[in-house]
Amino acid sequence: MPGLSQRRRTAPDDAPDGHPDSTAGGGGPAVRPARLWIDWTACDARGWCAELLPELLARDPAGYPLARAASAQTTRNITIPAPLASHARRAVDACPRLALRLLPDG
Amino acid sequence: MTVEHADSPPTVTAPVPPPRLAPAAAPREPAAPPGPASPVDTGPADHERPDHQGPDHQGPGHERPGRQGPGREPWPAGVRQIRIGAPPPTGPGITGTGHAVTTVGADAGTQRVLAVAAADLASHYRRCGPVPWRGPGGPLLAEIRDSGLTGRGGAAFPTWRKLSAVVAAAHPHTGRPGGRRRVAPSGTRRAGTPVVVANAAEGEPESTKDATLLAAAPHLVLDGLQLAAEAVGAGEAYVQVKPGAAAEVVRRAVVERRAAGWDRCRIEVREAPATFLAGEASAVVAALEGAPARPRAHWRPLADDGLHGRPTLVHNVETLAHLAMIARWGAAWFRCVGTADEPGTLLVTVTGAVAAPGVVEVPYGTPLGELVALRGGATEPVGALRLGGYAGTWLPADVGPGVAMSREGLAPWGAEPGPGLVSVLPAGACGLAETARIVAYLAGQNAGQCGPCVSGLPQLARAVAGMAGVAGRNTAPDGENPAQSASRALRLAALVAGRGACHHPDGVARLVHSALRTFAADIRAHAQGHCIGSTHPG
Ligand SMILES: Cc1cc2nc3c(=O)[nH]c(=O)nc-3n(C[C@H](O)[C@H](O)[C@H](O)COP(=O)(O)O)c2cc1C
Ligand code: SF4
Ligand code: SF4
Repeated sequence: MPGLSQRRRTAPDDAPDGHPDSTAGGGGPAVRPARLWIDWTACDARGWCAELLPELLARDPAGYPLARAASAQTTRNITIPAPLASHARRAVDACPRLALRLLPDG
Repeated sequence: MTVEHADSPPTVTAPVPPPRLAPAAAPREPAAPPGPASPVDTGPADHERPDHQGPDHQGPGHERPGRQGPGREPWPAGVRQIRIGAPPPTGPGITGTGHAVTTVGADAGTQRVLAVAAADLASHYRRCGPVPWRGPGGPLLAEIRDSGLTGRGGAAFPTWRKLSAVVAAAHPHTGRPGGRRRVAPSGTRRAGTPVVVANAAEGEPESTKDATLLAAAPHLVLDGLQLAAEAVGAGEAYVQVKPGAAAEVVRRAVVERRAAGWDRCRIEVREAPATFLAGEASAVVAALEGAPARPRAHWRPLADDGLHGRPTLVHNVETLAHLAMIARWGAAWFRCVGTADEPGTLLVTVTGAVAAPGVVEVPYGTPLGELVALRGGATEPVGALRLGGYAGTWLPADVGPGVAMSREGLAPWGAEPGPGLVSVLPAGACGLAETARIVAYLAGQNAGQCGPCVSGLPQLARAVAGMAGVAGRNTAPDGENPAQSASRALRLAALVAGRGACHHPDGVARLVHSALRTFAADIRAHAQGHCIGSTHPG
C-alpha cells in the first residue's frame, strides 16, 4: 500500500499478541489490558504515533494513523496488548496534538 | 458501568387502572392477562401484576414466529396496489397533525404507542392515567431491564443499561439515587446532578417517525422523559426537536403540563438545526450547551460526562414513549408482542415507491412485505430495499418479502432495523445512481472535524459517482471505468470506517459496502456500457 511506513522496529504484524515471550515492551510487569483512544478532531496526521507504535499503527495515504490489525475495524479504540503498553504510553506522551489517550480496556 | 439491582426488588406500586380507550382507538379484541402468554419469564414482578392490561396486545404479531427464513417468493408487483395520490385507507387508528399514522388491514391490532396517542393532556389522562411515579432508582430500572427495551434511535442499545450507567455515574458510592454520598476521594470529579434529554432531532432526511410520534402523542413521550428523570434523579430535562409542527405540539404540551402541575422535573424545549448530524447524541449535548450541533470526541461516555460535565442520558423520543408504556403496563405486557429477543413494537417510516408513504407501528419480526403492504403496497415492481435510512443497508429485492424486521431477521444480510426506516427502490431506478446521490449528501453533511472523514467522504462520494456512471455514456468524474471506481470505493470505504469522532463515516461505509454487494450486476452492466435500471439518467 503506498504511503505506509516501511520501517519496523520489532517483529511483524502478527507478533503483538501479548505473548509473554515477546520482547516488545521491555519485559516490564504485566499491565492490565488497555486501549488506545484517538481524538480524531484533534489529530492532524503528524504521524508520531505510528513511528512509536509501528506494531499496531500504520499511516494512511494522508498520514493519519491506521490500525494494522485487520480485526480492528475501527481506529477509534485500539486494543493494546500488555507487552506494548509502555510503547503506547510513549506514543501518547509524544503526540503533539494531545490526541491520544490510554484507557483501561472494558 | 452498571449497577446491580438484585438487592432492590421491584416494589409493586398501586396498580394503574387499565386505560379506557376512547372509541376512536378502541382495542380490536379484549385484552387478556399477559403473564402466561409471555414468551420469557420476566421475573417475579410480573406475577404480582396480573391485572396489567395493555390497550391491546392480541395482535397477530403475538403468534408470528420471530425468525423468518429467507423467503423466496418474489415481491408482488403491487402489494395491494393503490393509486398514488390517493389518501391512505382509513382504519381504526389515529391521525396525527398532518401525518397519516393509520395502520390498515389485518395488522391494525398491534399498535401500542400510537393506539393510546392523545395530543392534549385531558385525553392523554383518560387513556393512560396519571404518571406512574415509581420513586428513584430500582423499581423502574428493573422493570425496564425485564422488558428488554432497546433504544430506537438507531443503535438498539439496552435502555436499562444506559439508565443505570447514569445512576452509577451520579452516585458512584451507593449506585442508586437517594443513597448518602460519602466525600469523594481527592482527585475524583464531582459528578453533578444528572440531565435527561429526549432526542427528536431526527436528522435522517427520510425519517418522519419521531415527528409523527411527537405530534400524535407528546404527553406519552414527556411522561417517559419524566420517568427517566425520576429514575436517574435528574435535575433538568430537555427536548431537542427539529423545527416543524412537532416542535409546536411539544411546546404546547409542556405549557399544558406546567399549568396542570403534571411534571416533577422541569422540561425545556430546544430546537435542533436541520442537519444530518444534529441528532447524534454528543451533538445534541453540544447544541444544548450553546455550541454548534457537531459531534464531540469524548472518551468518557455521556453517561459520565455529558451536558456541562454532568451525567447525561440521551434517548430517542420513541424509546421514551415505550418506557412510559412499560412503566404503566409492565414488562410482561411489553413482551407480549415482538420476538423473545426483540420484544415490543417499533415505529417504522416506510418511504419510496409505496402507495402511501408514512409511519406504521409493528411488532419486531413483522415481515418486510407486510410492512410495505401496510402503507398501501409498492407502486412499482421492487428493485431493492434500503433498511435503516441513508446510513443504512441495501437489501436485494429477491431476499423476499418474508424477511423479518428485526436484528435477527436482517442479520444474514448485514442489515439492521436502525432508526426504523424502510425505503422501496423501484426496479426501474438505478440503485447505483441512488447510492451516489445519498453518499454525496452524506459526504456534504460531515461535521468538518476529523481528518479521515473530512477528506475521505468526498473522495468516497466521487468513487461512488464513478460507479454510477455508465462506461462510454457519461464519463466518470475521474475518467475511470465504473468497475475501477467500485474497487476504489471499496478501498476508501474501509479507510473511513471507524475513523472519526462519531459513527457517521461508519454509516456511509456500510451503505457503500451494501451497494457493492446488492448492485454487483449493475456495476458489471455499467462497466459494459449499459444500465439495468431503465430510468437511469443519461
Ligand atoms: C450520525 C448519527 C446521527 C444520529 N442521528 C440521530 C437522530 O437524528 N435521532 C436520534 O434519536 N438518534 C440519532 N443518533 C443516535 C444517537 O447518537 C443516540 O444513540 C440516540 O439518540 C440514543 O437514543 P436511544 O438509546 O433511545 O436509541 C445518531 C447517531 C449518529 C452516529
Ligand atoms: S501523533 Fe497525534 S497528531 Fe500525530 S498522527 Fe498520531 S494521533 Fe495524530
Ligand atoms: S467523524 Fe466526520 S461527521 Fe463525525 S465528527 Fe468527525 S468529521 Fe464530523
